[in-house]
Amino acid sequence: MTKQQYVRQIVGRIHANAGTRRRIRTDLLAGIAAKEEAGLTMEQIQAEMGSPEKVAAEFNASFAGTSTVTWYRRQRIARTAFLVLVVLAVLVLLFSGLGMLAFLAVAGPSVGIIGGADGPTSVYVTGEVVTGTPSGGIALLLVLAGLAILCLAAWLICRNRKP
Amino acid sequence: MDDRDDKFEQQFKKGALEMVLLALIARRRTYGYEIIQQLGKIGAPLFSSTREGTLYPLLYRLEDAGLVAGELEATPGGRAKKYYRITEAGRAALKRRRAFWLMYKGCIDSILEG
Repeated sequence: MTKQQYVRQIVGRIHANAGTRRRIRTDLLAGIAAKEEAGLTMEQIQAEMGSPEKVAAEFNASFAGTSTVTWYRRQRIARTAFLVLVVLAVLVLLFSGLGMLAFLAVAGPSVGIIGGADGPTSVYVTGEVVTGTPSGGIALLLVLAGLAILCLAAWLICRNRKP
Repeated sequence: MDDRDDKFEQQFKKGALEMVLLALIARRRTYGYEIIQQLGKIGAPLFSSTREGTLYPLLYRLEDAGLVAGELEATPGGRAKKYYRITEAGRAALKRRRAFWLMYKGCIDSILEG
């Protein structure tokens, strides 16, 4: 295992927000570099420090009850909410799009009945039909997008928040 | 030693280690691996098992409180090394904690020996 892989495996198991994880990553790499400079091989360093699980468990025990863990939890909640909202927005977009197609398929003949509406007039009539139908879907989409942006902002703030 | 003794010792060590780190960094500018080595030599048997997972979170706490300052420096070998030095606020905090420790030690000793 290279030092980058070793450190990545440790940091991936630490329950701390992204800002603290970056800090730990930098310090672990600097610490390993100091050990290498002292003449230790990567195998010896890993044997001395312990398995990634063990090192991460020590960090987690030290961080228990601190604000780092609180920001980590908030970061995860905000990320999950953001992803759920994005999925919902995509579903709404998909279904309102399908609904619009279904509406046009049904309303199509009635547009045809108008007759004489060709060229710019038919475009105007079709435009009326399209903007009038999925307004509920668009409103829902806008609400979901707004909430998703808020969650994204919360996620980024919690990620980089210093304890 | 049962679990309660073990927890008792862990609590004591955790509380004292922050002050010990301040004292070590006050001696001279140092870095993580050197601190672990020093704890292994002069901190035995109490702190010889201290590893990165215990050391770095404490150093972050001291750094965030402005008691020590971390400085990344490139070594001649091209690697980055993070040095910690004590700040003025850190020296003042160490002085206060040392005074508290001596008072605490004297008080407990007089109770236990009395």
